[in-house]
Amino acid sequence: MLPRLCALLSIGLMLLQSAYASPLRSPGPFSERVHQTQIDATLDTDTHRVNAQMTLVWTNTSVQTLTNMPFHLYLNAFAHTQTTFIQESNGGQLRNDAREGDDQDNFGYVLVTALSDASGNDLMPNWKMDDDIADLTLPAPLAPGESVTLNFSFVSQLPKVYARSGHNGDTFNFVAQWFPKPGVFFNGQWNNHRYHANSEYFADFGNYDVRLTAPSEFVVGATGVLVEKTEQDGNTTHHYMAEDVHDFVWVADSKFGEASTEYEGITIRLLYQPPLDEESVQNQLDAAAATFRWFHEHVGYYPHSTMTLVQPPEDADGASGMEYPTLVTTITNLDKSPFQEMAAMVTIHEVGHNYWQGIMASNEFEESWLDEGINSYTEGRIMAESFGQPYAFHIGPLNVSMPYGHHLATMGARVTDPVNTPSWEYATTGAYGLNSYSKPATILATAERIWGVEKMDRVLKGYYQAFAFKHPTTQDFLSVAATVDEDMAKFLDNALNTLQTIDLRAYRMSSDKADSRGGFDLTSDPANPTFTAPEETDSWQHSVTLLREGELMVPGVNVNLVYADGHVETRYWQMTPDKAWEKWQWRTDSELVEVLVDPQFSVLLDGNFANNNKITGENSKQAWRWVQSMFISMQSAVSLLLAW
Amino acid sequence: MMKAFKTVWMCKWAALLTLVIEWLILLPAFVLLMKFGNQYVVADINATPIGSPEFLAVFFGAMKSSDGFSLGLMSFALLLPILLLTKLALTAGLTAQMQTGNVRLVGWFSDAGRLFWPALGLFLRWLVVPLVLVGMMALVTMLLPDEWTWVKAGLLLFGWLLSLSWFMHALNINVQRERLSLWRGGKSLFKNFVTVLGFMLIFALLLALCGGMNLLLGEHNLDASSGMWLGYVFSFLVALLVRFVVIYWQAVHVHWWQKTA
Repeated sequence: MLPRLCALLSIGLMLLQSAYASPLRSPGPFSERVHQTQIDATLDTDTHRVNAQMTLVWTNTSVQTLTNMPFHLYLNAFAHTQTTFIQESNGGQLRNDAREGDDQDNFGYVLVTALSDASGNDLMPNWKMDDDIADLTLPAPLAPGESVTLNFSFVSQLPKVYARSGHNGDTFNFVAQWFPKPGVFFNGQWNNHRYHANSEYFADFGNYDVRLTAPSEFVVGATGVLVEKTEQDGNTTHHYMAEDVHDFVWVADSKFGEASTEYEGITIRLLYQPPLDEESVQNQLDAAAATFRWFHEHVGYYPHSTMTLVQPPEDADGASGMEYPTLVTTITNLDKSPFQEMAAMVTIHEVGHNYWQGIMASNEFEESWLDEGINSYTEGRIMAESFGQPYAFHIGPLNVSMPYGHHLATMGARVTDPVNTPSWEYATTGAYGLNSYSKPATILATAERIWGVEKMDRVLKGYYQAFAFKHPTTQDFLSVAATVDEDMAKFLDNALNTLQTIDLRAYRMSSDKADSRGGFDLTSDPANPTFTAPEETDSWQHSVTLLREGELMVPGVNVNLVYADGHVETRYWQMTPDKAWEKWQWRTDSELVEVLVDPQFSVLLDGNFANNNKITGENSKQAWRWVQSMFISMQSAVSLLLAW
Repeated sequence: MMKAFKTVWMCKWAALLTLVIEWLILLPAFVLLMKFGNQYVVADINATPIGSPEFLAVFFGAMKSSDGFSLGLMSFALLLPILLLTKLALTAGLTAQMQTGNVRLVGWFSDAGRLFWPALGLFLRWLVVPLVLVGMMALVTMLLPDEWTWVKAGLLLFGWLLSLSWFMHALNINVQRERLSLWRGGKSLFKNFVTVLGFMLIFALLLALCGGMNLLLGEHNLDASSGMWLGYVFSFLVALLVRFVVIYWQAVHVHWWQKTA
């Protein structure tokens, strides 16, 4: 009787918790939920160490019987100087941060101290650890549809943070990639790469039920929803639940300030570093809300009920600008700036990842552009369309928007790898960055400008509808694009999977006074044909040659033809794969003074916009506008600044 | 103050000549940027308004594809330090001439050459002054509430102007005798402290006026309908105004030196 009563009470308690707060905005499941993970973790804030017990129930959703199961032990990437991550990252560097030195504090690890199955049988002899990956020989073959229960005890030592996970040597603890995490059985085989310097992650969806214990003065944030808080002996246990997510992270800092807002059933919570003025706080909450608004309209539904924004302190910059399911980190400086929107932009970017990585969960080891590239593209659109800020940087007349920022990065870089390349196989870290972020964003922006925003929205929406929670690949994205427009899909395929480039040029231009028809009249007397000398007329004879360099094709672009009388004629340059040039010859009553290829700058992938135009001598004297302003401004600035 | 105005008027040709010298120094960069800018950066101004993302895309494209354009930008960057050093020498020379009460062009250039190294030495030693004064002001701003933006900017400007005044006081001593000029300049500054504070208000207003004129000039030049020659005339007038403001600052300091010397 008593066990039944306990079971009933437990179910009642779970229902009560569900009523208190649900991790989902509408009933799931949204994913296969390959695993159910329970963790009970305690953070020692002095040593920045986590002691935890984990019960993992993993279900074989494949059609094959499995005999082993690989795991990621990501924190071991920071265990010593010979790990793949540290070797590939020049001794431990990521973005602008680096390992501070060789002190013990700068190293970290995750060690499994005990492992057993559901019956309590010791599985440690089956556990083979190799730095940041491990392999477990299963106690028995696991048939399709069967589940295995594994009980882990493990210790996670956080390093001083320079690459996403870690502490700042003080009160800030960012506990990410901290527990033994199973690989993904994907396309008939295990996918369990090492932690590479140029890569993020790949994981299966599941549910998490996690109890986090930390000193009571610490504010805690985590993936999912807080369902209960209990205090005992100066420590507080925070009970979090998350459903249909592929990762679980948490953060604890005694210095956090808190603010929150609601957007259509999503609680947006900001954990910031005080002091932070109200306008900057609101700016962050608005940026997150604007992101959800845009995605709901243009892509699809966000199923989770929470989004936590975490501002790392300045001395934990390595943790900043990173995405995890339902929890992201912002940049360290959230002060709203009058001339640049970096604080909002990064938050929009990271919240956007909750779609392209949080919900789609593509393989970032092998196809990083699917997350970073699509997200960099949508981030620019959210800034302009939903957040009302088209410029990432704006000072006086100087403005840089996101699409042009990505264009500049793309055209300034050497083409060494196709965009779609496994992250560790790029020629350089710079090539990984370019091909994961700016170049795919530029490719998508070009497709949007050539085929229209409506078609691009259909691609994004179709991609979400067909592949949310299903680990899509580049081929899946292209297959959706093909259903919208075959030509666009072909362009995307070539731009993403090959080294093809494009550079449009206004190659030659002339405009001269036209002569009347003169010479012999062959229809007159054959013995003595009449001759009339050609005479100059009032009309002008124009000749324009346009050139497409590179193999990448777009259907065509507009060309502006500007005449001396101010009239602007727009013609369409239809391109064909077998002809790299186009020549136009015609007459008008006014002199042709300028040719501008692609005046809307539709082909953002164009390698050089400076050769898109030709101007006749008389009209090519406009450089004074900025040269003179630049010289006088600089001269005045030097004079006034030093009073010399 | 009237005495200072008289000195400024006495230096009117020096103002004009300084401007000509400055423009001659920058001329190679100007020619290169105009030539290659016209060739590569100019596009339909309606399609690429100056400063717009489209303009910047064309601008950076030109940097990538035109060695001449890149050379123009590089030469501009290289000529700026030369411009700075020349201005320093001319300022030292003009200060020495102002002290005599009779500004002669030959004497000015001669003094500029003679006093260049002492003035440069003073300038390098002086660098510590703004570091301390502006640094102190920056510390004070940290104690103020975030929303006091104008007060914070004012404090930093105050620290900077005080440092500049210190330099001018020291330069007046330096052109006479280099020894301990920075130290003695500081003493002179604090002797005249109240007067300096009052004058700094006037100078700050003049700075704002010049800044405003520069902005107006920029807006005029960026406007697609504005003409080139009017742009050049406005540029000349703004630059000349700036020179007169700077010479006024120098003249006031010369008169303070004359009073205390």
